[in-house]
Amino acid sequence: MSILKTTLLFALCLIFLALSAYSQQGDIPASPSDISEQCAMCHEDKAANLQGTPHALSSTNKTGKTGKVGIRVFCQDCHLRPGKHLEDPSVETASRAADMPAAEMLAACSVCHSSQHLRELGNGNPHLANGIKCVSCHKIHRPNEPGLLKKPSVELCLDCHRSVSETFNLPSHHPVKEGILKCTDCHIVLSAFDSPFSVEGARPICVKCHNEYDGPFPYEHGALNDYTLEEHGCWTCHEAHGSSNGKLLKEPDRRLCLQCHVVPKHFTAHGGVWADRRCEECHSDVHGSYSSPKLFNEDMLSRPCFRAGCHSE
Amino acid sequence: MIFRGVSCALSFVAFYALYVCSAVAQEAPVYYGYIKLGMVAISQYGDAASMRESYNLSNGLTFNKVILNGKLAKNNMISLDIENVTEHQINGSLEFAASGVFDIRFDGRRLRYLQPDSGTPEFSREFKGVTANLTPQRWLTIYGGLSSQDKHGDRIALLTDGLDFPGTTYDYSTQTRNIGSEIRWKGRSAEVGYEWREFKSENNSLLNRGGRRLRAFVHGPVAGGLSLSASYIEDKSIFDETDDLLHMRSYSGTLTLVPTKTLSVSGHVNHKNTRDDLTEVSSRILTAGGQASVRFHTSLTTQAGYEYTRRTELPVEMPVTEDKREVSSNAFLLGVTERFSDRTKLILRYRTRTTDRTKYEGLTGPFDTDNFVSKLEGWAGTYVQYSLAFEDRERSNDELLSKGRTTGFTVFANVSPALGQHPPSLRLSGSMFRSKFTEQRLDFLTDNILLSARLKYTLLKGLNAEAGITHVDVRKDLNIRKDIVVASLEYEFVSGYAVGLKYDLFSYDDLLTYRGNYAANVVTLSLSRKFGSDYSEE
Repeated sequence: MSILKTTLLFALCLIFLALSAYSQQGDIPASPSDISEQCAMCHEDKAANLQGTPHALSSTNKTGKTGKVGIRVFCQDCHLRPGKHLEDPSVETASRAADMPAAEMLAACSVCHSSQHLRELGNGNPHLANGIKCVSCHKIHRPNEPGLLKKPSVELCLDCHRSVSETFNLPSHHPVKEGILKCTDCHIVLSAFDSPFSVEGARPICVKCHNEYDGPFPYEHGALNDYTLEEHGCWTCHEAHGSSNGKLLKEPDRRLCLQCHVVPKHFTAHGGVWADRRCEECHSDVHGSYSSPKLFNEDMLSRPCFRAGCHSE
Repeated sequence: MIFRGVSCALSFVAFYALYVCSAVAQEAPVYYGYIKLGMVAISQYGDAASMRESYNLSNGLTFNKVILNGKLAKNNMISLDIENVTEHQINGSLEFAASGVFDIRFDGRRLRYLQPDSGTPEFSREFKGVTANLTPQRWLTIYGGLSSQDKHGDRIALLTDGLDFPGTTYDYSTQTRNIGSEIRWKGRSAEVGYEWREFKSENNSLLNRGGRRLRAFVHGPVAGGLSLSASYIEDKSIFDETDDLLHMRSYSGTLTLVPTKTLSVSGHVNHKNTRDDLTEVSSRILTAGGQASVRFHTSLTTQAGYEYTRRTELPVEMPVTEDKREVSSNAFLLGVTERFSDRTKLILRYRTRTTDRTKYEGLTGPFDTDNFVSKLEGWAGTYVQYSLAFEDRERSNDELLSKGRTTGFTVFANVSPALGQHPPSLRLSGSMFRSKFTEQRLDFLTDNILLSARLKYTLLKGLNAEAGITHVDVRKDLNIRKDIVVASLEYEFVSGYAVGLKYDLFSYDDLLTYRGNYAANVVTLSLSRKFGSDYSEE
C-alpha cells in the first residue's frame, strides 16, 4: 500500500508541476509558422474557420520563445507536401482531404492523436479497410458538433449502419434514438476479427451501466466466458441493439436457455408444475453467483427444498 | 483514506483547470453553438411502459438541444453538449480543455424505465462522472476520474403467482474512482491504471463490497513487422460483512506479424483465474487463438481468417462439475470487398464457427454458428444513394436439436433531386427479417418488418418542413404493431433565431395479448438560436 501511496503522491506532484508550468506560460510559444502564414494569405477563410477549434493555427512568433507545452498546429501538418504549391499555386502538391488515402490520413492524424480510437483503426479495422478515413466522420474546418464531428455522432454512425439503425425501432432496444445513449458509449471502433484490446470482450462495456453484473463471481455462467466475436459474453443471450423480445433477449423465455441447455426432469418433476416456468425464475443469478454453482440466488437457496431437502447441495 | 485523497486530487485538478482557463481568457473568446428550448404538451392513454421512446417525455419545458463550443484563449476550449433534458431525463456533458495539455469532462445522465402493466412502478438510473487527462508532454498522459451510478426503484417480480420472493426492487449504488498514466514512444504505448469501487445495496447488505482493480497494458511494434499487445488485470472484491475476498487475475497477450502489406498473422492467449478465499472455490480459463488475413488487390480486397479457441475451466470443489470443462472452437472468416467504381461497392462476409465441448458436464452440447453478410452500396445516377444488405445468421446445436436462425434484408435509399437552391431530401429505409427458433418441444417464429421514411423540404426561404413515419410490424408468434409519426415546421424569423412546431404520434398495439397497448400525441413548440459566426449547417 505504501508503494501505491507513493505512486499517487508522485502523480499528484507531477500534475501540479505541469499545471503550474502551464499557467505561468506566456503566449503560445513561437514557432516557424511561415508556411502557415503563407497559406493563410490565399486561404484566409480556411484559416479563419479553424478559430475556436482545437486545430486553430498557432499564433505567429511574438516572443521568440520556444516552448514545449501545448500542441501547435500548422497547415502543413495535415496538408502534407505543400512545397511547390507555395511557389506556384497552380501546382496542386499539398494533399487535400478528398485525395488522401485513408492510411496516409490516419498516419498524419496519428502524429498528434494516439488514442485507442486510432490504434484500433490501424489494427485491421474494417473502417480503414473500406476506405473510411478520419474526415469521413470528422470535420476539421468549421465543425458543428463536439468532437469535431460532421453530424451528431449517432446520426453519423447510423447513416452507414442502416440495419443497426432499424433494429433500434424494435420494441426492446437501447435508448439511442431517444438521445440517452450514443454509439460511442459502447463502441470505440471494434477490430475486425476479434477485439484483442479487450480481455473480456464486450462485457466490460456492458457492465459500465449494468454494474450489478460486474463480479467477479466465483460461479460464473459459462456463456459469459465465451470471448469470440459475435457470440461472446453478454451477446450470447442478448442482442446489442434491439430485439422483439423483452430485455433485448435473442430468444424469449426458456427458449433462450434451450439453445445450450437440456435439463432432464424439469418438465415432468412435481407433476410438471415447473414445466411452464422461465428458467431464470429459479436460476435467477444467471449472470453469476456468489454462492451457487447452479446460479440460484440466496433467497432460493434459503428455501427448505434447497437448504435441507432433495435439492440441497 | 485513499478515496478521499483521490477525490481531493481530482477536485484540485478541476478547480486548477478552471483557474487556468479563466486566468488566460484575456483575448476575445470565440463561440459557436446551438440552443433549442421546447414546451411540450402530451396526451396519452394506455400502458406507457409499452414504448421506450416515450418513457422520459414530460409536459412542460424541455431542453431539446444545447451545444456550445468555444475557444476561450490560447487554445483553451470549452464544449457543452446537452440533449433532451426533461423532468425524468438528463443527458449532458461539459468539457474544458487546454488543447493538447489538459482536459476535464463532466458527464451526467439520468433516465427512468417504466415496467409493464403498472400504475407507478418504475426504476431510474443515474450516472455522474468526471474524468481528467493531463498531457504535460506529448509522450505522457496522466488521467483520473470519479463516477457514481445509482439504480433505484421497482423491478418486475420474478414469480407472479403468489410465491413471495424478495428482491423485487433495485436499490444500489456504485462509486468508482480511478487514476492512471499512459506513456507513448515511437508508436508504442504503455498504460497503468488503478481503480477503486464500492457497491452498496440497500436491499441486501450481504452484497455490499469494495473492490480494487489494477490494469496494465502495453502495445507496440517489437521488431520486423512484429507487434505486441499485452495486458494484466488484477481485481479484488472484499465483502463488507463477511470479509470474504474474491480475487481475479487475468493475463492477455496478442502477437501480430505483418511481414508484407498484404499479409497479417496474429495469435493471442488469455488466462483468467478467479478465486473465492472463503469457500476456496476457484476456476481457471485459458483461451488461445490465431488468425491471418490476406489482401490481394487494391480494388478487390479479400480477407481470410482462421481462429482456434480453446477454453479450459478447472473448477475446484464444484459439486456439479468436478471434472474440468474443455471447449474448443474453429472459426473461419472469408471477406470480399469489390469496388466496381468510386460509386459502387460490394461487401461479402462469411464467418463459420464450430464449437466442440469435451469433458463438459454442464448439460450443453456442441454448437455451430454461420454468419453471412452481404452489402451493395453506391449511387444510382446523380441523386440517389442506395444500400442493399442481406444477412443470414444461424446458431445450431446438433446434440440438443436446437437451432436459431435470423434471415433478413435491409434496403436504404437517400434521394436528393437537384430542385432549387434548397433541394428536398427523402430517406427511405426498410428492413425485413425472420427470426426462427426450433427445438424438440418448443418453436418460436417472428417475422419483423421495419419501415421508415423521412422527408425534409424547404418550403420557403427560412421555412423548413420535415415529416417522417416509422412502422414496425412483428407477426407470427408475436403480434405487435408500432408506429411513430413525426411532422415539424421551423421558421427562421431573424438570422439565427427560429421558432418550431412539432407533432409526434406514438402508437403501440400488442394484438396477441391485448396488453400494453398505448398511444400518445405530443406537440412541441420550440425556440432555437444558432450563434457564432462559424456555425452553419452544410
